[in-house]
Amino acid sequence: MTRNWLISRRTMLRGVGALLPLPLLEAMIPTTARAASAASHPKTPVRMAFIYSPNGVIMSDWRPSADGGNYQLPPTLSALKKVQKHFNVMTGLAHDNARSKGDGPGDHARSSAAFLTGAHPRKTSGADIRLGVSIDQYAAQRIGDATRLPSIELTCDRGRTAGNCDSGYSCAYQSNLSWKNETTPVPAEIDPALVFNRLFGSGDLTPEARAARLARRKSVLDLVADETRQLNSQLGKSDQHKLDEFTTAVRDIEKRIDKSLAEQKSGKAPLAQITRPQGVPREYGQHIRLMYDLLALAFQTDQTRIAAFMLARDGSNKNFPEIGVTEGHHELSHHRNELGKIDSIKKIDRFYISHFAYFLEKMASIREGDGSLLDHSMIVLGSAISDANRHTHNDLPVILAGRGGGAFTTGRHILHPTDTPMCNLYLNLLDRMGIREDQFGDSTGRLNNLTA
Amino acid sequence: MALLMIRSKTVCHILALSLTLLAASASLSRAAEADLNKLQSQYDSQIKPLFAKYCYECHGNGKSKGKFAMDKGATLRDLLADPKHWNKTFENLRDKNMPPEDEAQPSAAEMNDMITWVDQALQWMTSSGPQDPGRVALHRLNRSEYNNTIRDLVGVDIRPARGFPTDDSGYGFDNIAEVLSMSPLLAEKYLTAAEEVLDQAIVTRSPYEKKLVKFEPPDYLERNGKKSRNGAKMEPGSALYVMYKFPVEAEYEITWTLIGVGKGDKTLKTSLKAGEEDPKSMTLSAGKNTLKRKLKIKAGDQPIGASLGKDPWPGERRALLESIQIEGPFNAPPPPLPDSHKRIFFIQPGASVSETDAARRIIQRFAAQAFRRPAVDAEVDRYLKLFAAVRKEANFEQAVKLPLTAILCSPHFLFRIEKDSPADSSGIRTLDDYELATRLSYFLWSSMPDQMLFDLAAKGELHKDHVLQQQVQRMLADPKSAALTGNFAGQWLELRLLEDVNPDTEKFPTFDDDLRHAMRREIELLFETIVKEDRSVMEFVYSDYTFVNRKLAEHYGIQGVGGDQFQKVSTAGTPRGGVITSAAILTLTSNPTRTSPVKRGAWVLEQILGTPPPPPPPVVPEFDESKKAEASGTLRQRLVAHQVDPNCSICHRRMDPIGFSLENFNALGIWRAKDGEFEIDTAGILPDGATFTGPDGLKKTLLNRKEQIAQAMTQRLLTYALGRGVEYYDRPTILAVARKMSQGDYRFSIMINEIVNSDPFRKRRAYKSPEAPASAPKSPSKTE
Repeated sequence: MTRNWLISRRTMLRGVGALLPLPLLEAMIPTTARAASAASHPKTPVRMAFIYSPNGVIMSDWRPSADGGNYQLPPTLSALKKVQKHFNVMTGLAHDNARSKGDGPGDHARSSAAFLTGAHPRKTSGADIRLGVSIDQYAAQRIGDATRLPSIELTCDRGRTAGNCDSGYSCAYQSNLSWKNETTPVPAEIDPALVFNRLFGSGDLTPEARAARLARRKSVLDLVADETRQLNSQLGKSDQHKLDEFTTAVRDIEKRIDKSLAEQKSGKAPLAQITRPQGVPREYGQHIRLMYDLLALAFQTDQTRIAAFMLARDGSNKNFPEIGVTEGHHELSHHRNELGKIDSIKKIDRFYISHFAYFLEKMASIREGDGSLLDHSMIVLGSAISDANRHTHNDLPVILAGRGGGAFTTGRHILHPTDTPMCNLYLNLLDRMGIREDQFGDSTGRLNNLTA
Repeated sequence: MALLMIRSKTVCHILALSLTLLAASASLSRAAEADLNKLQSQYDSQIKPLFAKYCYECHGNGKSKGKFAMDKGATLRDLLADPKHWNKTFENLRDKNMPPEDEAQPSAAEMNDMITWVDQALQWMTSSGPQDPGRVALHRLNRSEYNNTIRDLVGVDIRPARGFPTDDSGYGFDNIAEVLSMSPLLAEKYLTAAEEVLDQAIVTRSPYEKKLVKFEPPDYLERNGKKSRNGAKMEPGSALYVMYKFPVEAEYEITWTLIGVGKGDKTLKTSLKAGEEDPKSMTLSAGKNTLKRKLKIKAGDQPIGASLGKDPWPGERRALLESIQIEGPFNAPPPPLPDSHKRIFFIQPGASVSETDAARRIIQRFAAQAFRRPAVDAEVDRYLKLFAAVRKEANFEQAVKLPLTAILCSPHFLFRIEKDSPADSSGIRTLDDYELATRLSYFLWSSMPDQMLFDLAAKGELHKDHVLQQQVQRMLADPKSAALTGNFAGQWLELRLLEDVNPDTEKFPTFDDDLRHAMRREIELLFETIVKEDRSVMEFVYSDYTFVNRKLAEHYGIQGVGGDQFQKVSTAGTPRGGVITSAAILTLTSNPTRTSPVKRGAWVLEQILGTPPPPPPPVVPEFDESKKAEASGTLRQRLVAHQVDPNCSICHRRMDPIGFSLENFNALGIWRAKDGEFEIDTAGILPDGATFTGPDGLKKTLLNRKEQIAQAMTQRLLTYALGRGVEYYDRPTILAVARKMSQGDYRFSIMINEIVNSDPFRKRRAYKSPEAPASAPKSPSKTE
């Protein structure tokens, strides 16, 4: 496994909400390294990212009027013009497990929860939380070893800070896309500066000091792991389970430290001299773009191959003063077919798409191997709710961008049979990640129309 | 549609019902057997046939879906031996989850009968036999608890958890043990935070280590402060010097080396300079001349150099400044150590204490405080090994720092641990004094116990009633109890949401961050006053005083208050006093552009009365503010129009009238006589039918329901105190606390003390499931 990356431009990510100049990004990977990576890698790795866009969309402006390869971009998607040939619009997919199934209200909690798990959350405000492993974590647990970080989780939503979340569901369901297993959600990072540190280190240490710190950390964790084992034998069953989360977490960091130490020895450690972003930008759009920048950078430098990014939790009532929408998203989404509200939501839909377009353009402009970074990626943008006015969970708005290393034929609108499980798509994605699995979540089989 | 109407009515009945139940249940727990007889006769005549008709399809006649049969056992006593499932039944009926939509639906009256009966049966089940104290899971410190604990343990207040992910909440609070999960990301942050904290707390090397620095050309500056153009060369009248930053006032040894060049044997006069001192004139002779001086020099940038006299030189003598050398400091005073350092290194290795002993005692003390219980020798040994391993290549302080880092990453520190092993035969045990101290301090301070609590726990005295009560009093008086305001009140009253409200600044130009913070501060001060002065909790509903600064006084139209400081003012003659009519609550229950009577009504029902309305069914949109409607009347008229829709009306008739009575307050809580051009009708109705007018009427009517309000508040505070959801078996505790409060003017301290004295707070069930051996209520055997 060769991973050559030398990002050492102080000029990068300058200041708050920096927009990465693309040519520079490209320049940061020396040609020799690119060549080496292409030579020793007959196949460039495939990356996979899931982006959650809350509260559904106004489908009439989102759905292309024709299917196949010769379709006109509908109004909401018009910002994607430049990259139209790099993605597929997917309609007809569904998340059955976001439906109530006798559990009453709580569609927003169930939507966030089901999106990557395809599982039905156990209705509880706290005791005995139960969902299912999410697709990103499932893959990370199998192939995450290949990169320094098995996966990254990002969000632009701070979560609810007081009061109850949706209708008797713990906030854990609504705020987390990623789940390590049935009971353990994986929280996401909201601060771009901290994401950056996680990817490239804080950059204030010499290689020797860094190695010394890693060694110290290892000795600390050894001791902690030891102590945790001892404690475990003194606890009741259910508390042991809770402590297992901790044991796994500690083991995870230990592995990562070993990896970093090995890199240090072989001289492959990242030159972490990049100016890091400064905290959370005030403006939402800037925040989103910075996260997209980091996501692209993480993929480009092969720090990780798997990512989940929650733009906002489902049911989010954020308003958008920067585009003149002062009412909250969730309240607007119950529009009752009133035109003013529908117009506001369309504006929000276009807002999210315009930033996604920025991301795809960036991914497409980064050359890699015989194509672009986007060509070697699979980017899923979607929601587990379609019409938020009525809380429907079928005919979901989904975009699959990137060719997955040449496996998918893009530039099309693919219409799936009604109620096709979203998890079927996940099986196809797992294939491309080199994980052969015949069942995930509520899947019923693979999609067979991704290649024309 | 017909079906929908019936089902909606049911919700309405249930709402009304749960209100009456709450009020009535206080008087219900006596004479268990008499109650059972009553339950039996109702069961036989009314309830059993209903169960058979609507439930047995899945839960009877040999079927037990979800492992629950409603015709189990030979007697009613047998049938009711499973309170957990009956509680689930109660919830499912109340929340209209059962019977399922596609099954036959009971009429509203039938539903009412079943719910009433199940509720009374639950009363009987939970009031007989030993009380189940419940069980709190392994409890990870949340962000606020982590910050405070670090502050109190280490003595650095740097809020290291500021970059941790938001803690998920459950039951309305972010300190719920079962919800606080652990992830690699978080574990990594704990590790980094531990390092950051100890870097800040401990000084591992003197900043004044002795150094030797030598300056040579081209380091020199000329008199004008510019770089020397001629290197080391000196002319008559010229000077060369360097600026050196002396770290501390101490002695330094300065060595000047000059070379006399040229013919003749006359000497040259040279003045030397070091800081403010002119130590010496030196007479230069040909060749190398060296002067060494040990001088006391002040801290900071100081010039060190040499100058030549202006006398005309005989012959061609010149001088070169070969070098200036500075060595020091010598005899530097010890560096000022932060208190955090002194606290950790309370003992130093020396003549009477070996290094290992000192390290052991430091580790032992730190671990005991971090783990909130005495540290075991075997534990300390493990940490000491780490110290010994590092000590080979690091100084004493550095070597101690590593085991302390490990302690801050230990599960014993990061989790509040209550072990399960020693339970009595009932499966229930009383917490030991250390566990009690920990529960107490995280309840009242969101932080670790202090030395006094540790001392009382060590002496085994904390659990004694009078001691505990004294401690509660002391802790509430301590400034650390501000955590109760920020964390409990901030979430119970939802004050934290104020940070995220975003009123439309075109419609509401007076809104800014100062006002936002003033709104929140007012309610925090009210809460703190009720706590500190041990006042009635009913003052949350109405108080004849409040707190304002200039900004908020202007907002309220209260005259004569200046400055940023808050002051207490009378609310007489104003519509203020209590939380419901505060700008904070009125704003956070409004939409960005207008008021929301629905949200205001729902807030009062949930936070004050403890009877939250069910969430709207998904197909029913929230209020439709169409342009047509806007032109056609006040918000009330428009909302009433929407109440005509039977899908909405059934719940909105409960919520909206409470909100309507507050329509004289705009979306920022400013008083208004009219809504635009329209008159405002503030007539209101509570779900139990009581009618009133305007905000004062609402408060008065609520204050006729003090015991219900006390129960609702107790339920919230108990949830927060325990860090777990309140369960059916906690019901007797809640009723008892509220009753005690009613006997003591609803003083805040009664609520706190009664919770602290309650079984759920003092005890712990050793088994996860309440059906585990012996923990379910036992039948009183005498009556068999």
